[in-house]
Amino acid sequence: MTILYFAQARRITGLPQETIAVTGPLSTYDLWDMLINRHPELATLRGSSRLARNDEFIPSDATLSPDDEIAIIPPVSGG
Amino acid sequence: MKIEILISEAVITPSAIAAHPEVGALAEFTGTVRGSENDQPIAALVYEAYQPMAETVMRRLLTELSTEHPCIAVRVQHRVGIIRVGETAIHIAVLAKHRAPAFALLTAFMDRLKQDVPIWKTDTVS
Repeated sequence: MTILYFAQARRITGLPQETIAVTGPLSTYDLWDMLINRHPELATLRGSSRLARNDEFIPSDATLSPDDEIAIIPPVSGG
Repeated sequence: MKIEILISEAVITPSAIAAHPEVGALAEFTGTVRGSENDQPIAALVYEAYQPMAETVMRRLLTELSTEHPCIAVRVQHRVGIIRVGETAIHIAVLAKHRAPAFALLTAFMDRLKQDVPIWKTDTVS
């Protein structure tokens, strides 16, 4: 699974993206747990950030596949 | 509704939007960088976008909003990278038959952009 990091998420991880090993379908909750395990400070964004796949926000009850590309979207501030 | 979206590091220079014989109203919004952030003077802001998604979401929002506020054309230019105080971060031009839908689309779009379009002010330069 490929994870894309933006804004504060990129600053925390120091990475624009990374590939993580995932063996089967997982929930958004599982994914956040995995990411926070790798980058503990991401916990500060968990409550306020959304996940996106194929340019769409995904609901928290979505199921994620190992070949998904998932973007971590911290609260936006454009305009 | 014709939609043009441009996200770029280039300085925004609003150019004339194509004329259309049905157009009776042109509403424009220019958002510029203020000289202070959280009461501290700044020289510039740094903007970042998840560009493909930002364009997709903007297009989707505009298409949705155009059913309630029918307009003829809209162009959105959003700059990213370092934008100095006084420079334009966003420019929107809306063409419509009448002023009411043009203003309404513009206002509603800016509200939604600030909630759902993946663009961030990531840093300040002092």
